[in-house]
Amino acid sequence: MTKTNQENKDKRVSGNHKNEISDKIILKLNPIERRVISCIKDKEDNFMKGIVEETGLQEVEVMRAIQWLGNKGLIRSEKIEEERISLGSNGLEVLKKGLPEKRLLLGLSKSYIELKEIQKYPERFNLNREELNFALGSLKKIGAIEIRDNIIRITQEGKETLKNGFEEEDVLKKIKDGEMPSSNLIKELTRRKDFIKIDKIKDWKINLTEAGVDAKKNLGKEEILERLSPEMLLDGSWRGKKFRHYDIEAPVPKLNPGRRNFITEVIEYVKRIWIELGFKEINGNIIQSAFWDLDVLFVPQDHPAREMQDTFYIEGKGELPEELFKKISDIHNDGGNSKSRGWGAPLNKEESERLLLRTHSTVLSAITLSKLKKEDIPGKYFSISKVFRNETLDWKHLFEFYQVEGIVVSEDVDFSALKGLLKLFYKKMGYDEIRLKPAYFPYTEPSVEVEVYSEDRKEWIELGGAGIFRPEVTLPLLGKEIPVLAWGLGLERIMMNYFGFTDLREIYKNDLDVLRRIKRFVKI
Amino acid sequence: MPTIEINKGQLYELVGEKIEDDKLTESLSSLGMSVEGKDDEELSIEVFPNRPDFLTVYGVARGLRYFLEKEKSIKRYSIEDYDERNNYGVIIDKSVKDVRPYTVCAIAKGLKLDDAKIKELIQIQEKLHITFGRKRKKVAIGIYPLENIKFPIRFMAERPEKIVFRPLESSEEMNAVDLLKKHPTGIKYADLLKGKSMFPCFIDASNKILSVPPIINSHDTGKITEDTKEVFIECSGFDLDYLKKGLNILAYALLDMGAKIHKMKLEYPEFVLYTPDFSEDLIEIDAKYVSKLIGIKFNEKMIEKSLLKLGIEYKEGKAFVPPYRTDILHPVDVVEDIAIGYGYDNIPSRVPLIYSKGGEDDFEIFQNKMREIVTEAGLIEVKNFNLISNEDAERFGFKALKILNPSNIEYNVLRPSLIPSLLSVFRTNKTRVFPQKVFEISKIFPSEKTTIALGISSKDADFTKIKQIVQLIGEQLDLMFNLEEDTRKFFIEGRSGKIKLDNKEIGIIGEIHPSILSDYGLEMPVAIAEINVEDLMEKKFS
Repeated sequence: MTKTNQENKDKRVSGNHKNEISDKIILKLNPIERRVISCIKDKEDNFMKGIVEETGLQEVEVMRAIQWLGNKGLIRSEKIEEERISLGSNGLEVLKKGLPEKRLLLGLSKSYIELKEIQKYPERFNLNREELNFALGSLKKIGAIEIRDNIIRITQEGKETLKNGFEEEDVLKKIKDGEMPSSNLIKELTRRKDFIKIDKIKDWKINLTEAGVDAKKNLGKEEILERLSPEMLLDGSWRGKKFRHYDIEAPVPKLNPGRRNFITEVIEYVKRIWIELGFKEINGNIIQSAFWDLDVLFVPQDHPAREMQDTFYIEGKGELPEELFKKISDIHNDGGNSKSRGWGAPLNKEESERLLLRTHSTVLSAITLSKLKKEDIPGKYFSISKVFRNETLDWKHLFEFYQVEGIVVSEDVDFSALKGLLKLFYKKMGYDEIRLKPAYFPYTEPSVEVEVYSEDRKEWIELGGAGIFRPEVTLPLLGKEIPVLAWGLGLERIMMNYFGFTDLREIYKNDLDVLRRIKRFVKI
Repeated sequence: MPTIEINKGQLYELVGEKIEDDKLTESLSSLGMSVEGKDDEELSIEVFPNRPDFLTVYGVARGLRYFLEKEKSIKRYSIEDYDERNNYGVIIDKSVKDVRPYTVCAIAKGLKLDDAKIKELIQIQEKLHITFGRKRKKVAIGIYPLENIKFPIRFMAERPEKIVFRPLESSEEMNAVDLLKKHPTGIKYADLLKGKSMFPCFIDASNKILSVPPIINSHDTGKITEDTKEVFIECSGFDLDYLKKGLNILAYALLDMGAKIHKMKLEYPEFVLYTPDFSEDLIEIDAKYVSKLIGIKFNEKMIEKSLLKLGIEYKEGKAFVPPYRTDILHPVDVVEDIAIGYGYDNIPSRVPLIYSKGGEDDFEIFQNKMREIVTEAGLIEVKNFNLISNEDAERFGFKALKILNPSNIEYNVLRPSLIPSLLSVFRTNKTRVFPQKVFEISKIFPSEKTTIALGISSKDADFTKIKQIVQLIGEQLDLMFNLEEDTRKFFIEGRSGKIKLDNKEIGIIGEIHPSILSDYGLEMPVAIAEINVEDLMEKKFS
């Protein structure tokens, strides 16, 4: 095999390869691209504006097609900004009448004239006042005229100038003929009123690439189908034809499906954790009496948290369970039959009857405890529900929020078990490290504040309270002192952390863009 | 929760050494205080309400000395007994019984007061007033220079117009009626004596008015200055034991300031009392009880060591509670101190293996089914507050349950329907993509029944579109809904209905009236339905 043969073969191979590529590209051209490329001529400059005119497409459509064709390597496009010079109204007139300087010199070449005279009657030299002033100034500057004793005369240089002619006139003539003279005089002419106009023209210059030339050659050789229609399926006309290939990477409009609220998703996940651990879900009313919400939980009746600025009260009176009221009142007074000293005051019935929006879901736990039968112990219960505090709404305060409540009633629980359960829960929520700090709640002892370490924020964040119910709480409700672990944990802060909110109010804003697009609460 | 400002230098001096910031924060947190703010000189500390003894820098320092194991044993203070010759006594008249029945008192001597110390004393008094004293209602504290007082003092009640004196920092004399009307402090605390025909007052043996508690001292007999070396202190209120603790907290602070405390004799009509009383409460502690509650085995030594860190002496099964502790009501409170002393971090964690059958609440399961049906129909779940504005409720003709003390006027009633909330959602989303299809499932008030509200807002939102969803719910729950024409004014006339299930009204459906839409500034039609979910469940499982 000779060298030439080898070369030819390579050429052919690469030529075939090239054809294949251009075929593929042709298949991908959408109808607009096809129209655009079909009017781009080979071996000459094409302009976007011309294409718009020729195709009758919108400028944006053509621009988009140019971009796509460019991405496919079929054309080269270059943004151009051109200056187009043309004559202004004065420029056109000057070409007919001659430059004002020339007209003045012409007149002066016949006789001198008084300055006053010419200023009064410039039309005698075929000038207007403006032209006269300009001509006087400019001719004086080049020494073509002299003004002495109020008389204007042409000088020797002036005569020469007149004889040689004015270059400006040549330049203007060239501009009129559509030439683009590159003279220094252009700059000067722009300063003269309405002599010349310079327009900036923005356009795209487009040339076919080699691939473009190839593609264009093959364009239209075979029919390419845009959409498959039911008719085609029926008559089989699709047979032997090709479908246009899509740009599968092109963006598509977003879907707006139905969706549960992200809060619901979080709650579902939290519920599953407790259910898996054998906790039973409890529920109850939002409107509660102060008795169940506070008295039963050994919150003294003069506790500052009961004041109007902390708790939402509503009109009406709650019904009190007579027997239990007596027991709880005794506990508050002197500890009743427990070892406690009590708060030193019996319950005021009116205070107990006040109706409020539950300040914590611990009230649901208390009600649950009061209903437990012997066979219900040991028992584990949880609730995820709204609680209310009389707070002014701002970025870090909500007046209603979720509380993850849980209790474990068993002879076999203690502080160590409380720690273990909280640790397990937060691990499931994505926090590996937790710590318990001493705290104070009137109904638990020991009481703890639960903090988790946020890897994102590199700090400890407080997420709730927990403890073991005091005997003053359990004894009247259960009839005996059984340890009851209890916790009330926040959910909003975890959501803020997970979803990246910086303002608590965002959780309840209901912006549909957010609800549609927010990421899923995915934890395992 | 109350916050106090503490000078770091003073704290270090009282503790006996400089403590690194981290260690200080950590130790304070273990004692139930949290550092809210700090700079090079000052610390701002939040104190839990059960530890009023930490409301003074002396109390904090005392707590830290024990916790950092600077004390090898409990430090007890001596107190001067009542001396007949001094005649330091207060006679409590039976007339105070219905006004402010109790007072406990003390004398402090050897004070070295400068401007800063006087300020400190006032701060201590004020901090105790606010929380421990429930804004002076439960406890009011008075401090008076001893030199102007003739003993015995009388604590009695008198008709307010007959109590004439010059209140502190006031230029003129006035009676107690005017005090409550004219004097700034009088006006501030007037509520505490409102409606009383007799006001309590302290009067000395020469019939000079010392003060009208819980309002104010007399300027002539009750103003502390830099020259004051000896003071008379009283705490008045309604709960004798509580008052004793308050006095003890104050007396301990004064002792730490370097004063000597003298007991006083209080002659009540029925009994005689000597205060302050530093005797300690004895609480029996069983190591088994401690171990059971905390979850690790505690022996006597561990209990003793842990409690010493909290300033409590433990000996042979008994804990000696210091006289300034107000929070020990039950042995369980001592157990908590043992746990804190041992360190919450040092207690191991374990997951208890307790068998119990878990499960989701039936109604919650049913609600989730509803969510499933309507999200599949393309609706997005929104979550609004249970509180809305009364204005919004009234727009629909609803009579809503009012909050008596709302702090946000835009949220001052409990919502009687979810429909106003859905319209608020459409208002929030005026610039978002249409069609907008939303639902909410939540309680309405006062019934606390759970309803589901469905809403569509778009150019072509109409009765048909919303009825389709209601129909879908009926189909999927296998329940037969009937519609009956309705006349509610917030719907367009002739385009609304009651949704009925076996003749029971369980919901409403319709196109929202344009006047309501324009009230909300909405520019698209809205069609809505609201159905009682509890009725659905009841019917489904009946």
